[in-house]
Amino acid sequence: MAELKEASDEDLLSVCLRGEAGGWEMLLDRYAALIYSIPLKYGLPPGDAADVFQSVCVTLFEKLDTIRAPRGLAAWIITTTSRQSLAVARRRRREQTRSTGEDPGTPDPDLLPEDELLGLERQRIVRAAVERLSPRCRKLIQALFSDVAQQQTYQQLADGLGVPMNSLGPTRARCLDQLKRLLVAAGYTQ
Amino acid sequence: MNLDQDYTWIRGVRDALSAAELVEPPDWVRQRATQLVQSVEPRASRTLIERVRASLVFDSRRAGIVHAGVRAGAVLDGPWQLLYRGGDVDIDLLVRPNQDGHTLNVRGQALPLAGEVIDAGSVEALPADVPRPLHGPAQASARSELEPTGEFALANLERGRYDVLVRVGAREIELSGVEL
Repeated sequence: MAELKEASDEDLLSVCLRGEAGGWEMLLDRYAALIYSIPLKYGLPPGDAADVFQSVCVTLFEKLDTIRAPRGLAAWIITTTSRQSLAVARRRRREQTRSTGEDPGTPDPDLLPEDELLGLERQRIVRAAVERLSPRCRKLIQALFSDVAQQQTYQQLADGLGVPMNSLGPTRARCLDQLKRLLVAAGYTQ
Repeated sequence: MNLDQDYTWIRGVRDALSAAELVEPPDWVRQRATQLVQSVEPRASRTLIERVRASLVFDSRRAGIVHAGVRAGAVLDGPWQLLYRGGDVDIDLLVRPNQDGHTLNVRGQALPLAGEVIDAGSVEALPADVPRPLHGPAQASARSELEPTGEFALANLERGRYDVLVRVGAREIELSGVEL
């Protein structure tokens, strides 16, 4: 399972297609939050988001053999989930129109801008990269980027991490460098 | 690493970590999806053309609650909207009558729910009551290519009943007897 965690999307898809244990679970681990968050972003309630999640997973499972490009999986998931979320959002609106007989007075929902959805994918990549850092670096990065850290002095930050203050700078540089390399490898773009 | 020079990158990471938009699904949702692998086998690649007859799921001319099987009432003068589903493709039609009283324009969108990008597709409206030849193409009243977004437009159709054929990749979806 630990090896699968480091596997590329393309390798993970191959593992799934061969029916090897753990592949599908790892794929879900990697993309569950992204899939579930898109219908929520469309304003759907949690029940509908759960249905979209299941529907996207069924489609993904059925089409595993057609997704080949190593960088294509996230884009496929975003497009599929976005379209299915939109279809549910439109259906809900029509049901409302039909049951009340009145126009809700708001425009028919449309696909969300691609950049908004890619923002979710950027968040997923960053979180996954932070998870892959060494425990010390992960702790430091999380501390550095938390809102609380903005209020702290270097001494307080060093005390919280249990390191001498004069090693904080070099450690931070090394950890940021490590994070940046992981992000570049994962295809992270601004 | 110079933090000043890399400020944009750092800010991007900070924004991504502080954003609360990424939500993990509840455990039961994830478990339900995990169990898929025990109950479904992946399908083989699709190579043949798949023909699907779409069903009407929404007609804005049917105001309020209607009983199943009840046909729409009188055709309205204003624009109306129809939604069909054929397999995993939603097809939206917005019908707008022209001033001349006997022709209309149709704008629509085919939305594959399975996420594929539409790199080739077309839409044809064929008179529903005219027999189609067994071989060769039928005479279409209007035809449109699909945009990459799935959008299409059929202009200046005479009012009447049409079979609308939507071709998306290897699928052909037929909307039978669409009353326009």
